[in-house]
Amino acid sequence: MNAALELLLPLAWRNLWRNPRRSALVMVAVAIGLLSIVDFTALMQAWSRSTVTASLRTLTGEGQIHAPGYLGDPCVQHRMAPPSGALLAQLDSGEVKAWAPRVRVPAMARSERASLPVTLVGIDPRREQGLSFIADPLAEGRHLRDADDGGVLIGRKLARRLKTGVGKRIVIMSEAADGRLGERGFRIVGVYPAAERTESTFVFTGLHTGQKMLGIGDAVSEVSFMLRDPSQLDLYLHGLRKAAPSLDVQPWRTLQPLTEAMSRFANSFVGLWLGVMSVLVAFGVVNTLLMAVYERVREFGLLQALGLRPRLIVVEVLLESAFLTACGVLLGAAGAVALIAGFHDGLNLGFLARGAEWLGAGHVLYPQFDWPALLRACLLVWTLGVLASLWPAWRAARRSPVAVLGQG
Amino acid sequence: MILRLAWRNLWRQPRRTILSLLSIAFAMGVMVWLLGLQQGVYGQMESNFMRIVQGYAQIQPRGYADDPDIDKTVPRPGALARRIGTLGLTASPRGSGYAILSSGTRSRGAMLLGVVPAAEARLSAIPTAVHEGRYLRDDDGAAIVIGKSLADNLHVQVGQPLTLLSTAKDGSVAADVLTVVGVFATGIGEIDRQFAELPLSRFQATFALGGDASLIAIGGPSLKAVDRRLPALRKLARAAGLDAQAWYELEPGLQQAIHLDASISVFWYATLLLVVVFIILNALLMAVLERTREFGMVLALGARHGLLGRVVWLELVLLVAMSAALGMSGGSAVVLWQAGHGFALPGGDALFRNRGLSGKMYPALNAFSLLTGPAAIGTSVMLSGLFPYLRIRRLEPVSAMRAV
Repeated sequence: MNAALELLLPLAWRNLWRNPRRSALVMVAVAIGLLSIVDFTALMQAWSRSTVTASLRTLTGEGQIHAPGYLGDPCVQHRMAPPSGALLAQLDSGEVKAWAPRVRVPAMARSERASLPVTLVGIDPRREQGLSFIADPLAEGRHLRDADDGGVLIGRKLARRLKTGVGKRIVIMSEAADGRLGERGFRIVGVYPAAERTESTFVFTGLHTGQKMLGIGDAVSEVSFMLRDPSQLDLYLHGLRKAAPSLDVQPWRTLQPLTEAMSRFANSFVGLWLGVMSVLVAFGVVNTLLMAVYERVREFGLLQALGLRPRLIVVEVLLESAFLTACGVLLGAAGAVALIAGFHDGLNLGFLARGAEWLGAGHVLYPQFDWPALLRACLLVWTLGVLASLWPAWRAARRSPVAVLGQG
Repeated sequence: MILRLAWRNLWRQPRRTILSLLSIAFAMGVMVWLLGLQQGVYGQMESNFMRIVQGYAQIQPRGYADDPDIDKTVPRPGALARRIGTLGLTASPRGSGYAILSSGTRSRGAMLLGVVPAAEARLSAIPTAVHEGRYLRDDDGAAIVIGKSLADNLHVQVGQPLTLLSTAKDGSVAADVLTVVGVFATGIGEIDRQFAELPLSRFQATFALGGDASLIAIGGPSLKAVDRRLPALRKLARAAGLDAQAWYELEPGLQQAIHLDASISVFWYATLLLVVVFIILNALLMAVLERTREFGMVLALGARHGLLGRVVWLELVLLVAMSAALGMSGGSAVVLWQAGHGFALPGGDALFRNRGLSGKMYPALNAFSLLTGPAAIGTSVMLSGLFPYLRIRRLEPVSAMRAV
């Protein structure tokens, strides 16, 4: 067999270049098909990643801890003691990049001109670094200084709706621990930019200020955290649940089911596109090789008459196809990688930013190399090309040498 | 004569012709299906999303869109609604404002709509989303229907009272006690958590609106039908010193989301088209190259280059026409079947439900989705036919006849 391969390998390679134009055209078709598959996958993954990041940074984190019942009915009654003991040790362990306790309750914001429903969030501003968007630069004014800060940060949209701004006062009303409607005036110290829905929902103040207003002592509504290595989430959640068996510990997937659905939906489309492109590439390869075999029937007949076994003819055609598709695949992979690299600074969707926001993604997508996925796509297209050539190969080997040589 | 020649040439290599035909038809079919899917889902997103509460269009006081304030009102909404009715559309005057709803010690901020129940039933999805109790009736007084999560958070059930607290148009305190007659669940988190509806007359009394409304929501047989009436609506609104807002002005994010999807998908369609063109170009070149001797012979016998070129070109036209027939009928068959049965992809279910859609996607067949793909592919393939055509123009009879 080795000797046969030694003979067939160069034969197949040279045959490929007997008609360079034809081979080049198929290679380009295979290459574009592969490029389309690979870059489509990269873009969809970038899209999913952007949706997940946007969602996690909007106060979700990779996971959250609440008092039981808070998720179904997020109000002041469902509160928990600040983390201590085993839970605190888990949160302060090296696995956690950032964690923060928060007070988070439904409230009403009232300016001189209007009142609107909002969510009041009490934060320790330093702890939100690396955890949520509120640590990002503001549109106007200053950040909260610490957990005792008595000012509020509001979103641009809410500021417009309430016809208010930095330096002005608003009144926040919310149900306090004793069931009364707690009410407190706040000075607006800063205005933050975010997605429109976020801007009109969240009002931030110092954690201790919020706790005092609601009369809940040092209790909190939630603890949100980000890990150093997101792939360890399940393991880490297990540890947290053991450390705080009476609390409700949830990963972002359950907290934001839509974000999870968006990722799965994007993957479905990747699969669909893979199927469509594969079929087309297979058509191209079959058509070309059938022609290549057809015009060489006499040659194959001669080879058989000289003693080459039909089995080896099949191998020869398969080798030709393997070379042909491999060249196309390599070309396509190079193109795909170059295209992704061209967008390493991000693909800016600024021209339709509100559309991206409506769908829950960020304004800039960052396509990345996913080497295993690239390799899988290459192997798949290549295997498919070789398999598609089984039919032409079988036809080449099947003809009787005598009949063929007698032709033409 | 040329036609018959071309037709016969096509079937001299039936296998190659069929393979080429299948690749073009497959690509065309896929385009018909994908464009149909996009068109269908866009249509679903537009009309279902707008139908939940906003309506297909609205007439609002000037500046209301940027700043929906309780002081801004539409005077004599009844008369305007009747004139909108003469355009063949449904008009529903609404009061709109925010309030604190309380039950016992529980309170929540909510978005209130004062509605005319009979008119709402014809343009909003909320009346049909009531799953406990009933929707409002025209003779209701102190009644309110609220979203499921809002009801849960307020610990309130059908038949129990709710207190409403807000600021009226004249700056006084707006307060009322209403009985919950129904609870609705649309499946859209924000709406089930924040919305409540009460009769317009009650809203007007509580918020000191007199006979005014905050806006007029407009429905019709379809979103497109309402869009066609936009110029008339804008004229009507202008005459009354008001603004007409089309769906894309009410929900610009939705329109941009659709544009975003459409513009990104153009790139993928382009790669699909290129793959097909290269595959076919290859088949065409082969078909011409292997007939070089034959062409030389025909030329030597006195045929003109133009005639030969036309025959080869015609072969391509026939191929594209057959592919188009096959691809379009195959693609539209799938589209029509799925338009009836729906098409589900993993992950789509939860995503669509939260946007007011059913969990499945329903593709739509229209002139655009049926013709765009096949026309683009057909044109590109015919253009690629220029290469073999030019090759034939350059053929010299003598050398061509000697070609292998």
